[in-house]
Amino acid sequence: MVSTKKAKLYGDIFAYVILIICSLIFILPLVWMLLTSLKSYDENISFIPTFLPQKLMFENYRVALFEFIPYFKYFTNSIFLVVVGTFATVITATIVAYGFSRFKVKENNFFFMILLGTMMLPPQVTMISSYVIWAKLYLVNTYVPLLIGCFFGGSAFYIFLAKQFISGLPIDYEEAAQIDGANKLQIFFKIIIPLLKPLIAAISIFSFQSIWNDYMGPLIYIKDVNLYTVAQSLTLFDMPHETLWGEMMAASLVTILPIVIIFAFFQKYFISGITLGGVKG
Amino acid sequence: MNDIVIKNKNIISIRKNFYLFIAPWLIGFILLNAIPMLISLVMSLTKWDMITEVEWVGLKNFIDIFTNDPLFYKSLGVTFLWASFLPIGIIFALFLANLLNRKMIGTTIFRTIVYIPVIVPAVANCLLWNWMFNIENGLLNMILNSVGLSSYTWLMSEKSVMFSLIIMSLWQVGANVVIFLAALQGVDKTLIEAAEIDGAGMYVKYFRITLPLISPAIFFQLIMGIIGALQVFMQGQLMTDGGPNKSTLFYILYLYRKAFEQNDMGYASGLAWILFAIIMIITIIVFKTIGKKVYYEN
Repeated sequence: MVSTKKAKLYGDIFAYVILIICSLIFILPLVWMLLTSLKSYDENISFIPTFLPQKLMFENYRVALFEFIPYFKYFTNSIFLVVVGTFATVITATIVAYGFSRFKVKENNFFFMILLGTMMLPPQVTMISSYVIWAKLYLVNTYVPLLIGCFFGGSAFYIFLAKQFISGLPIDYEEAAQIDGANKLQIFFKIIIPLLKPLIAAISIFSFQSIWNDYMGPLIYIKDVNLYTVAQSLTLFDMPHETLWGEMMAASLVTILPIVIIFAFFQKYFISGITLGGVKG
Repeated sequence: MNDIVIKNKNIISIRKNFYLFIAPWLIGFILLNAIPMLISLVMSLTKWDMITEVEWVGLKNFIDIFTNDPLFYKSLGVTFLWASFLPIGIIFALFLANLLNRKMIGTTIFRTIVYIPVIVPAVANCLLWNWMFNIENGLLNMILNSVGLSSYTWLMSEKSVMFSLIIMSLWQVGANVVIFLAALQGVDKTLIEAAEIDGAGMYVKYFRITLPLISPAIFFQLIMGIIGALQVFMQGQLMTDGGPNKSTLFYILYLYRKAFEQNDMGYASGLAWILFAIIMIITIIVFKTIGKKVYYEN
């Protein structure tokens, strides 16, 4: 008994040492980001690099967000995409998942296998032809190509997640409501949706993050600088002959903030979302 | 007789509801996946720059890709090299997850810290690490210099660029750590206690009980990791411009340039289908070999 206690103590000490070292390493790039954002242009590219800023340049934030680029315009663009996209994804993904988990017709499994199969499909296979289609429809330089998928269930992963969750719900309430004469859509919106709060939170986080961070979509479809997303706009600080490191890092930090806030609020749902993802097999 | 009619009616109504509910996905699948896939397949048999007439060339794109395109092989090799480092990330993630799964004071803080890099948007991440790797003013060389070592080439040399990008990817290992943590917390404690009573040591407990129980999580990450690694793009586009000397010309970067910079739509579609075939083949091989060793409770 004593020896296992001792082993646990040594193990804990070892774990603490490793975790503290790793934590410092993980935090360091973000500290560097913050420090860079507070240094002047000259200090950032000086021949004698400094770690701490000699003079705090809060000015960088003003230049980055209000002067150099219309940052808040891009911020608003991204918020628009995230809100519309996430809302549409949550509604359609849960509707589809309800269909798969409650109506056991014989072709149910067949369609579900196709759905899972699309998770393996590299998006590049449809990327070029989709671009051609959108170009022919004159919808390049609009948000339609970026958002349309959200109205069709978002991604297969969200539907899969939602099906796992809904299949675990007791069916009694639905049966009771059916006896009372409610139709399936009424049952879904009145009874199922209120039971899905943790699931909706999990899908919302994943969807928020993936739309907010998306780069490939805007890169291909959004050429008009007025329609840029916030992720896309960060590259504007990287100019052919100079890079405004301070301003770029300032804008990057502001871009991370909404995600941090979302995670802080929904942290526990996020973990349950991962557990649901079927990692237990 | 009546019973059968009622039953049939029931099945018809169930079927109607089934299609009603899955309609959003089914329509989306047809419009956004199936039709574009067909068009893409047809496009791969043409030569087209989106301006002039479409020219039917049969299998010429594929023949050119395989027999007359050194950049195809180069980009494929670079991408495979990148994917071959995947196990490093998985092992590191598993190692951290085990430490974070211990019952100790402060693990919540450590878990949060390990996960924070994951929420940094990919574009910001690339720009940040570009700056960290900067030869003259980057943090990494500053640290090396401060302990008396000379500056390292990082992204600027063919020899060190891949190594640098791997370090950068390990920074976001938290994405894998949370999945392992979830799996480790699902491990039935009574099994481990039972083994303890039978006198099993730490090694046996871990490698004979814990590891098989979380093997589905390892396998899941391996499959998703391979698919993701073969689609690596942004680091090449935003950080290295495919260089130095094409050493980070990843497959998707090459495909992107063919399609959207050189407007060679047919050729690029051919490249996309070849990638699809490669991903399918590798996934099947992994399922047939490693997949068989995965332990499922039921």
